[in-house]
Amino acid sequence: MKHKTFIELVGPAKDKMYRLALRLLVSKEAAEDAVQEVLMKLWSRNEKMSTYKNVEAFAMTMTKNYCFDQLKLKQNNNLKIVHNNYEDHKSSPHQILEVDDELNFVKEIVENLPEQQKVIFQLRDVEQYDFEEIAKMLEMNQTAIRVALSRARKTIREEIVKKHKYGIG
Amino acid sequence: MELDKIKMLLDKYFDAETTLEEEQVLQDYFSSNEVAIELQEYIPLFNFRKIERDIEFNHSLPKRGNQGLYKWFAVAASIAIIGGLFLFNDIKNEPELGTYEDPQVALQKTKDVLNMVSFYMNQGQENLEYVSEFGEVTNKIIKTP
Repeated sequence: MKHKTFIELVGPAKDKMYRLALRLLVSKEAAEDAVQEVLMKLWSRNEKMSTYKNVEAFAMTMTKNYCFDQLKLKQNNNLKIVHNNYEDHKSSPHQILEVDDELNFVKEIVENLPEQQKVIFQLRDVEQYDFEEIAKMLEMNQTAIRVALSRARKTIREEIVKKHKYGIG
Repeated sequence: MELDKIKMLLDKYFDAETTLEEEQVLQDYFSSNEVAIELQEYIPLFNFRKIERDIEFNHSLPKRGNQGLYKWFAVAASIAIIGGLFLFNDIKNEPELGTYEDPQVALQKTKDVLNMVSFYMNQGQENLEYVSEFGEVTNKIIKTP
């Protein structure tokens, strides 16, 4: 396979891979490294790639596995410290401040979810894969995925409700 | 009616029973400006879902495509080195090293050379005789027991 074909094949998935890595590794640098690393691995086995039915799903699985490995190895010692990647997503001034604050609150809740739930929430709520695809990517059955996703969503709801009841969460 | 439907979808959403289409309905509802006050606390969640989708990977993809080219550089370099070695050997063999065909002449020449070496060696040694003078002088001053 030519380099150009490879880029065309993997290109659409790379943003999704990056977002998943970012969700798990938190640090931008670590996430970028993870994507590069996974792409390298994919490229190194590119003869076999044509045999994979769904390159994107395969790439996502590899990204997830790589990130889990990284977390286990604790190679990135400074991972937990460097998590101030929050950015201004909107340009308008102080009125937005409160909204931004609430977004960061949601982000924090998601960050504190268990790893598996984080992955599932990312794949479903952000990337909008259907359950069949997620099941393939994570090698889990769909029921287990629904249960985990429901738990993740309910945790987020609880935290949000708690915050609204008692003011600042 | 509409609100009831949304609430029902929301319950389904938290049970992870919604389809992608239903989730899109919720997404659209919470992105609109007509969210019921009692449901407004969920706006950040749906905003979060949407915004996280916009993050992009801006780094360049791995450039392994040039690897083939580098391999040929290596091949060219090794050819140059090996070729260079052979060429150098040929040049080294060419100059006259002064080899003698006749063994008698060779012996004579060797003797001459050895004699010359020993002559110069002895000449150097003569100068060393004066060194003993230094020893004598110091012995007069420093009396060793």
